[in-house]
Amino acid sequence: MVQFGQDVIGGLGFGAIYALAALGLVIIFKTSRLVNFAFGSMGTAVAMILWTLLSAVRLPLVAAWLLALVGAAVVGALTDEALLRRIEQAPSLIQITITLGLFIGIEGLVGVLWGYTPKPLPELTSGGSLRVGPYFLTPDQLLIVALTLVLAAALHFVLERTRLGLAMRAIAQDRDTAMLMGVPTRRTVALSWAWGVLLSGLAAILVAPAVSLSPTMMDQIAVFAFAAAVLGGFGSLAGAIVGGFIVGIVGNLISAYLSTNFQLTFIFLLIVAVLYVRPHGIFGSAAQSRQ
Amino acid sequence: MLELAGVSLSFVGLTAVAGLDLRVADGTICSLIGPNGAGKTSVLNLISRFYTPQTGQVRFNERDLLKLPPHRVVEIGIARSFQSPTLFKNLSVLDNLLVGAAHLSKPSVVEDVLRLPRSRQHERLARERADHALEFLKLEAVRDRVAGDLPYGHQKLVDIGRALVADPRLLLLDEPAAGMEEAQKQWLANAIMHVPDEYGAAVLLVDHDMGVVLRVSDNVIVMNFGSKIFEGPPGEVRHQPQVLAAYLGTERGGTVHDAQA
Repeated sequence: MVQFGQDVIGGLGFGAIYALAALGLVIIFKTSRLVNFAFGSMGTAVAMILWTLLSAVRLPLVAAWLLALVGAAVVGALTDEALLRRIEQAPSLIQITITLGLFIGIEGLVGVLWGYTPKPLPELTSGGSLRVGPYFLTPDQLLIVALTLVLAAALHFVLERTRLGLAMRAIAQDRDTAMLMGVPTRRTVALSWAWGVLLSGLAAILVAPAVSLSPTMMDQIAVFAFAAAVLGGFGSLAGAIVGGFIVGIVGNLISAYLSTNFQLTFIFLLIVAVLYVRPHGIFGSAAQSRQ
Repeated sequence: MLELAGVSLSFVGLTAVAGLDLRVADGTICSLIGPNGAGKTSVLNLISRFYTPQTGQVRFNERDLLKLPPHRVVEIGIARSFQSPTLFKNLSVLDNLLVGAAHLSKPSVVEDVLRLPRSRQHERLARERADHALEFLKLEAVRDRVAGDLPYGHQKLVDIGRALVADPRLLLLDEPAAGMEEAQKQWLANAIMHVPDEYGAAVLLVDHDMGVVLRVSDNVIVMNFGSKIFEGPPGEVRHQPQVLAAYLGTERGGTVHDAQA
């Protein structure tokens, strides 16, 4: 039983990563109705930029982090401004093709700029495992989980308690009407792209020490994060968080008791099962899916 | 304040508005009536800038409305409700009303997220206006309900309330009484009559309910086939033969009231 508990805890770290990336997907989807399939490779690019800032520019860790994340937000807003705004009215098949193309394009670009040799990023924290009752936790895991929960809470606060959040919720419901009411729709959508790409970047930075940097480092994580978003109902913040942790924990249990190779298979079986019972995801509603 | 001069609008092969002149004076209630397809809603949609007329001028307080995109119309003081309410259905009634205040001031994102003074001030103003609209339209009891769950009549009121929160100088109402029960219609007519005093806004009303129109209006414009066939105070409308003809398609006697019955 202790071992089982330990395996659950072992899934928390990756669960938090999936949750962060899924949040990034959901926040963009809410306002722009676009699934940003490029979120994985955008995250990779942010992690690579961080690596350059640390190893070549030799910035201090915190400064490099902040700069990389600000860069991610700017790139997110620019992507919306320069590219996706033009396909707002396009059929969804075209939109999907464009963000998928963006995914492949950015991954290729990262390969050209930084090469395919895996690069290490240092662990965020030092020191041995922490002991909580019979269980062990690494400080990195703790930091990642805490950071995810704090960010999710902040995001929730912004959405529910600020004017910007009201604008986002209104746009998510009916963009044209929101625009007629004088809501600055363009600015708000660009901002949600900034947020979304920042979260993808953060997920990549946090996972990098565990998987080492390479152009394809986020490929599998992106699939799991996408699964987490779908599981949570694609549109709900709480859903993305819960979905992320479920995928992380279930994935780790399957690695521990079956085989790492079966992770993806079982995660998708789980999604099929959940969607069979709740067709709109754990936290989704029919109204949300219709929009 | 609002002035349409020689406005014509046609869609492929169909004339919606033909050479219409229309004026709404400050603080007055003007109604636009006419049979289905007479072009009434097209006029509202022209003013909202959903359509651009082929000819003619649309001016609001000496400004050329035709130079503005639809989302800037609210900024210069024209707000509207819709024939079928376009609420944010998953948001609460209060949140729907608050969105109406979106254009009143524009604190920056940083101010919003950190709740700095300008953002708080905006929020206070928006809340005051929303509270006032809730009271004015007797919606206090449903303040925190999800808008999409409300009965149709209430949704229409929320739609009107959202327009009032926007602090308009001119309020466009597209068939506000449609789908309401008789008692609710009477109450709504009363509320509309108080809009100029309470909100300092003129009203341009499109409605089929002759009782409501005749009761609230200072000025009535009757349209048929996109043209104005009569304009005058409500007391004169019901006896005009050309109005009756438009409604009944014949020249037989009676009043517009009979025609509606």
